[in-house]
Amino acid sequence: MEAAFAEMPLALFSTLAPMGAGAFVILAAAFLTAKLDAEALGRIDRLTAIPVAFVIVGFIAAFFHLASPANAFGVFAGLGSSPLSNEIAAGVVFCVVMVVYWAWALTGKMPEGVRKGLAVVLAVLALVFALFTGMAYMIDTIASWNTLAGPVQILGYALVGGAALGVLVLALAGCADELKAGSLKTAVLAVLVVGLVCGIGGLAAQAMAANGLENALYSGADMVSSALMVIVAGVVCLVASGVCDVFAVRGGGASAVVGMGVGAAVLAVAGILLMRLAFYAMQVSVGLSMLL
Amino acid sequence: MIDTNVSRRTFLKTGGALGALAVAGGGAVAADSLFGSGVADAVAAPEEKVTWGHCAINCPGRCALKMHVKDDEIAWVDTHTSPDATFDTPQARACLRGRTYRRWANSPDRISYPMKRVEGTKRGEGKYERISWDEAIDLAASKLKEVIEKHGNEAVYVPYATGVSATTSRPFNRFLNLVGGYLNFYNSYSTAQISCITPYMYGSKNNGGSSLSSGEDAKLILCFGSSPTETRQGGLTTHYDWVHMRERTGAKIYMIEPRFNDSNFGHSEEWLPINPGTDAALVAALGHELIKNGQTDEEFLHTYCVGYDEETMPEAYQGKNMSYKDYIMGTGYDKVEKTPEWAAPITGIPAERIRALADEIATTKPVYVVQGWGPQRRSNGEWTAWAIMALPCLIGQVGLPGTSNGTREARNSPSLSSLPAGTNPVKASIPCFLFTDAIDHGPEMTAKNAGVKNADALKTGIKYMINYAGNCLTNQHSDINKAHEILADESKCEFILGIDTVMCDSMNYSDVVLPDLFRFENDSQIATGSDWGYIITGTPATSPKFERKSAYEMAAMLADKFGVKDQFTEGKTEQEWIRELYDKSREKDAKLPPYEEMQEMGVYTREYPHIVSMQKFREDPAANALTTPSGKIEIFSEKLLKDTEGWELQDGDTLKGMDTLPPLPVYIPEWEGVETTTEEHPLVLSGFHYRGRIHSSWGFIPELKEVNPMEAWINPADAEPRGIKHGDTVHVTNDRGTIELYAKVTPRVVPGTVAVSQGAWWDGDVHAGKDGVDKGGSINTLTTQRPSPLSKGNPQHTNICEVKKA
Amino acid sequence: MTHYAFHFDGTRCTGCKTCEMACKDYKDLGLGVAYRKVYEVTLGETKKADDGTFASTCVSYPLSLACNHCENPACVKVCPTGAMHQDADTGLVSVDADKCIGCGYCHMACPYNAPKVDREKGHSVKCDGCKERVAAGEKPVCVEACPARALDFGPVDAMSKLGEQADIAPLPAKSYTSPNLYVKPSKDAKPAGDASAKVVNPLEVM
Repeated sequence: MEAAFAEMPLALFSTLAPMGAGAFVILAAAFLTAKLDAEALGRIDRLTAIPVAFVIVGFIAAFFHLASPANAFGVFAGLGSSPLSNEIAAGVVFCVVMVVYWAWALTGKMPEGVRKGLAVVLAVLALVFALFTGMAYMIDTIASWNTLAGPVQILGYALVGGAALGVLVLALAGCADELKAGSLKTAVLAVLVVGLVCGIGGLAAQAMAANGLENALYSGADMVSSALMVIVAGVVCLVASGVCDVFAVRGGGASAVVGMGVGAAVLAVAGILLMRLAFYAMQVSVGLSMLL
Repeated sequence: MIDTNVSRRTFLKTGGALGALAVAGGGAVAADSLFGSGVADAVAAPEEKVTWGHCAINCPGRCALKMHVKDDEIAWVDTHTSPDATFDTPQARACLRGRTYRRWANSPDRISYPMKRVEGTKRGEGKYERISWDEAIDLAASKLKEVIEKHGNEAVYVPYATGVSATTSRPFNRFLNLVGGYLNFYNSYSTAQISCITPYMYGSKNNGGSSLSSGEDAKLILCFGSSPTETRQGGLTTHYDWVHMRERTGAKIYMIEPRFNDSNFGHSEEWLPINPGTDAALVAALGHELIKNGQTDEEFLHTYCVGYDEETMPEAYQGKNMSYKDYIMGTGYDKVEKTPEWAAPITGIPAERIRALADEIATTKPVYVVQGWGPQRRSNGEWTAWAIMALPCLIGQVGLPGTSNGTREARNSPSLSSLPAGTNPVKASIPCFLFTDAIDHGPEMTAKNAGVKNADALKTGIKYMINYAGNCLTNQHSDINKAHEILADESKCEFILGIDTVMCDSMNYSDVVLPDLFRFENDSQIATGSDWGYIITGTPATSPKFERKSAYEMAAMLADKFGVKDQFTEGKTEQEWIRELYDKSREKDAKLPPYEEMQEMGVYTREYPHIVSMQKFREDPAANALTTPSGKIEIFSEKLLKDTEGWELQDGDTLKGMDTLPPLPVYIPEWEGVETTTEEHPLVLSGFHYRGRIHSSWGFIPELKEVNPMEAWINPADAEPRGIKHGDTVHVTNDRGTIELYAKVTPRVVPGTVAVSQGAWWDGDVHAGKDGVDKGGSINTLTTQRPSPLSKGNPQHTNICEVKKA
Repeated sequence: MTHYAFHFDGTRCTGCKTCEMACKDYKDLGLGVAYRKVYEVTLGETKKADDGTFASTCVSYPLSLACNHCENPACVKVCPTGAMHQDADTGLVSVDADKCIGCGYCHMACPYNAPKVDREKGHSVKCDGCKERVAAGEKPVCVEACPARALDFGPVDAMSKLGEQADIAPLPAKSYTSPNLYVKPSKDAKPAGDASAKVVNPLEVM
């Protein structure tokens, strides 16, 4: 398990960026279902800085993982063949649309239709980005990673983490009542449930796959057992984050809702980060590769 | 220690650029270049030159080093090789260590200036300050004069040291012989026991084994305690010879060893695991089966040997049940019949396996029996080596093609003359292993209690030592903590002059340290070989850096202080000596090419036919009698009894109930061995040679240490009850100290035995004594200074210990 | 177009690591980086019975391994920048340091533990088959260094006559990358993909 901590920058990236991206799913849902006045929209737009920051900090973390960040502009050379190029491309497309959307929204002059349309596009791009991030680890020489459980996990983290961030943004923007309203609440809960199922189910599936693998250096079962406590802690945090979200959408005093939102976000970061570290710890190559 | 290399890089860069400019031409050109494009060219494209050199460490490998040199700096180390070489092409390829010479030569730890021990510090603390050459030589010479005046030349000693070998690598002995001489030593740390016993059995001449290549003609090869690929890793020696022979021979091979060594790799069917120190018991049991089944070669034994049975006993010992057969069949000595059932629990080899092996030995011909030097480096080593040599005699497998005489394999080498040492006026000689005793209580050492030769007793203790390229003061000696106590006491040995390239642990006991050059930084020549013979002729790869000098120059400077410089040098430089010595060698060996050609080719190789040990003796034992008293092979040695008459023995030196040393190859349980473990120290501890070092040389090179970690090999059966897992840090402890290293939990070592490679650099607190922890993992922290009974040699593989998780 | 391959003769290799250290010297590699490594595989038991006698099923063998310059290199496939590339003429796989971002993907993907990110140098590093030596008619420095003559290097056609393609544990099945390594295994050796054949010296090779 210790070796996985060396992958902290990548764990941070794959925690923060999908979370930030996933928040736009909730925002899109809010724009589509809730009646928000201009002031509320303005507050939401300013607070959108939070998911934007998550995405950017995530990318910065990934950047620091590189030994020669200066050459980073070359990463698109492998587009189509290198899963990493594909991931970065998906991330960059998402970021570009995100920045365009956010800058436009901050002007306060974004037509409602455009907002809704762009938010939906962003939500879809976020999920695509999450899937590509997960697919980046599907390498046929790393048997324990070469499974759809990888992208499913990241998709789940984007949804659960995105729900937490989205709820936090809306709560801070004073939209507790809107959150409580039927259709947004349903949407948030739906996102949450799908996310938890994908995230936890994906990691569990991956752990089970790794458990049966073995190579000349170590057995997957040993790696899974050494990561087990981290997995359990991560799952507990993730579920707790969901519970906070549930409390948040059930309503209450504004500060209580904000508190729940903050709790959900913090627990989501902790839970996803732990689960990501566990993922790195369960790398079972078909041959002689290991972390470090 | 002072940092002697602060400005090394800067200095070299400057030196290189200026050097290149100087090469570019005369003053006008250089001046022009300073302002023109010439500077860039001169600096950017230094010419690469290639020089030959040789490894000079104590391994017969003598690897060929082909130095690629840029800017007066070694860029990389190539060797004697070519892309078109086949499996049969003889090339003296350097081993892994030879390929790291650049790292040693350029090490930040390299000694660059003369130094003296900082006043107020103790020997062993390793604190030194830079001094001038004048001061260093003055100090060393004046102390030497003082000691000679006060105690006589017998108080001067040149300890056993093997860090440098070449035709001119012993200048200090030559110098000392010009000023009255020094106390001699005999034996070596490599072969004390076997070198001592072989002449008793086979005589002192023509007693060597067959070449490994002769194994090609064998049908069965029994290899006792040998790892030819690890002990002589590089060059054109036994690593290559072993691999080559194994592929060419049709023989079945047994490696009889407590450790599945690296020579066994990939050939596990060859491993016959045995308890360490019990080979003589195995041979006795094999002998028992051969005798019982009438499978001994009686004709050979009766024609060529003495002491096998009553009939062949020396007259004075007949009728006393003192033959080897009496020992084996239980009619003499301990009266125990040496059945396979007797040997099984001692050796760890099941009785039925011993029977099967005896039958295989008896029914297969030719049988090639060979031993390494591990079995003999033990408290019972003289008898263990002897027993292994007796085995081929029992079946008459000596002196015929495809056989050997049970000693180590033969080595071929062209013969080169060395710098004449002169004649030593001091005749007394001590076993090299007892030098700490000679420092501590020299005058108590006698011929009968300490193997003093050419004198009944020593007149004085050792008071002055010149330790040239040696790490045997502590690290490669035994009981390092005890050695420290003796050496640190300046009232005993009054002065130690150390000469080396880096500060190994023994150097830390020097009062003055002088910075040596490598042989590849000098002209140098050396001859060696195994199945093939070869000579390497080297020229300096780089100029001498800083204030380093050759040992020859140093000895000449000392000689100058005594007014004997002219006698020492005879007006010749070292280069001129090498040349002259070579020309002398050529007079005796007309096939050798002229020196210039030797320099040009770097490596000169020579093919030899397969050597068959003692072939002439086998053909005609009367005309080619051995140099033993009987002229025959002595399985029983009357001479041994006479030589050791009146010797003071210690408990465990001989068989129970005997008051002499055994005159035949019996099994004596080791003092600290499989039969003598204790509750406190229930495991046997045995050393071995490791690919990462040759003895302690290279023991400080980080790149080698990284991929050759210090490990205690321990069987899972011993590790599990102690909660030790593979890779854990463990402490190996006995009464003499504690070492720290990793556990290698492996089925490659027999249960009950822990194997630790020898030569790691001691790394502990000099003030802690035996309660301290040697984090370097040097096995000699745990070995004893008690010598083996007959040769007075180092029994460094005879130890017991306990292992615990650190 | 001649693609090159290594040959490893497991019946000769004694695990001495001369290949590894010769390479490190020639390529001037410091601590923590080696382009060729020697793996020890050990299986079985050596037991002592109640009567004090031994029975051993121990088998042990070394494998010297560098980059196999695979026909279908996993490292090249995953490289996002094209820094990791295969020479069309020689098949030798090497790193273009000017393009490499040091993401470590090649290291993760390679099942032969060949590439590694050297953070000091700022890019991925690995065996390049000593391409300049090969171009000059020499063999890689490791091959010419071997005291036991257990390594060889040459055109795939010639090397493939000397052994089976990478069929030795601890290596994975050749199907993943089609490695240009042809092995003559010792009697002790286990076939590729045999998970019972563990690398017992991780400290020395990872």
